[in-house]
Amino acid sequence: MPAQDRVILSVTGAISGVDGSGRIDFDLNALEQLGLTKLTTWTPWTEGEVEFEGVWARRLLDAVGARGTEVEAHALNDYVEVIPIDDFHRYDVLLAVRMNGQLMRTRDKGPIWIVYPWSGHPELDDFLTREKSIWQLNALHVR
Amino acid sequence: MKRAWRARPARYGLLAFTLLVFTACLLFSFHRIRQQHEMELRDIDISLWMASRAEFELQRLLVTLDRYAMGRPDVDHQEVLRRFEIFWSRLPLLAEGADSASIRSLEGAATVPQMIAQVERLEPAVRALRGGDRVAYRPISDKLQSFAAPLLKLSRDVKATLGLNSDAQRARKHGLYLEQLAYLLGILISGSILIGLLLRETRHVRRLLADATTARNRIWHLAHHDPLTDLPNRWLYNDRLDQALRRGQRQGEMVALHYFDLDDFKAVNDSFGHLTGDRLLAAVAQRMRTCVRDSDTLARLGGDEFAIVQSGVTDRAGATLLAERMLAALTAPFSVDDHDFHISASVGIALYPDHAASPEQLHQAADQALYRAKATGPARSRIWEPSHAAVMPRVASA
Repeated sequence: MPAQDRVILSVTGAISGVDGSGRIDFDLNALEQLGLTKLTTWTPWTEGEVEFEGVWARRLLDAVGARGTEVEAHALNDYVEVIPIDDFHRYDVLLAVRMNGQLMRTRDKGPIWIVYPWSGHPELDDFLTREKSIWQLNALHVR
Repeated sequence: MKRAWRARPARYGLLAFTLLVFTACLLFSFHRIRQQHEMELRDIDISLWMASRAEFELQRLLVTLDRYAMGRPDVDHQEVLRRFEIFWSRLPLLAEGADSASIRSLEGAATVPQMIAQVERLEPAVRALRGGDRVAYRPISDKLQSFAAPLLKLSRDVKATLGLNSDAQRARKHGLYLEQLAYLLGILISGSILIGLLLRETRHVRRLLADATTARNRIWHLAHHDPLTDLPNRWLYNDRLDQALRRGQRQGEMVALHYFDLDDFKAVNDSFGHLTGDRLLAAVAQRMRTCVRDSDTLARLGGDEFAIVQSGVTDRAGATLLAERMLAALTAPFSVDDHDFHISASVGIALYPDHAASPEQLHQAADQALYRAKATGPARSRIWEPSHAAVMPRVASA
């Protein structure tokens, strides 16, 4: 479904796409159509356990027909980080759009925050996972 | 013996367990020290990154605002709002969550919540700002500018307080880490030496115990054997005879007692000396030894007298056969000190229980039979008969 509202996420790179353009844009509605899930976890940047809501990262990549081994994640603040796609199969990594029921604005690390399931996975509490926990995400490039 | 053998696996098990615990504790300590060191460094890096990043985003916001207020066409209102929101998003990171704990412990961090409140109050003005409006821009810019100094101070405080201000401080932290590792190495080395010493002591004690056992066996052997021929002596012979008779009684078997006396041996001593006589006795004993079974006891009773306790005898013939075999074995000459000696012996045989009911009676009967054998000529064997009891006891061997 092509985006009609404000685009919050563009996916490019090694994907099949819908129209062969090699690029798929998602507005909030299109993203949520992929299936919303909740993830309750702590993070190093929030107080206590927080309830996130969004789409499993692996579900989004399946939906766009991703054929790569890693994604280049771009944030509004020009931050770029490479994440192995294997992470999304090993863990329930969420592309979160809501935190405690509220849509995340840019000031709240929105529109999308890549959230790892920190609770129950002590091995994630390292520097690398912090780097991959990108907030203000707006583009994914599959490669 | 059996207890010692049983105790050993338990002791080794305990030793192995101790070694395992020791190694595990060391590895765990090493891991924890490294982990702690890395966490400290990580904490410093994260705090530094957080503080400096907020300051950086503030500068970017100020530049964007400035260009927008100048009416530059490459900056639109969306871009201004985006930069404003991005800067805003950096502030809670200094005030919330586990990763900001170190920053929050700093004095300068107290201003962060006030900053967030002020940013919130600025929002309507930023939203209302239009490109090229220098008047509306000024108060917004001034307010934002006032955040720069506290944020810069926060970055500096992170470096100074958390120990990253200079290479010297970093080196000192690394030095402390190396020091901890050195202590651990000390424990490893001394522990290994202790375990090594323990193993060596255990081996030493075991060797001492083995030596003691060997010595005890040697003493027992010396006390119960004749030093010249290494045959059982009279004490051990008596003991073996008692045992044989008891076993014979229990199992209903016959025991034969053979008394051997070398014929005319005194002549050897007289002509060739005691030294040669002793060597000849040793050679005779050696040859006699080859004629008896392990279950029989060949003993030297003294001088040129020998005895054989033969158990498991079924009839008289069995006893006579052994005696005759012995006499035959002695007929071949002995070569001692460059002389050939022709030796013969007389044998008296008594059977238990046919001829005697006790060891003493059996001795007596064998002695009487030997006396008869001696009397009838050299190289003869005689089995006791009741008539032998009538003759006079032996006075001396010829």
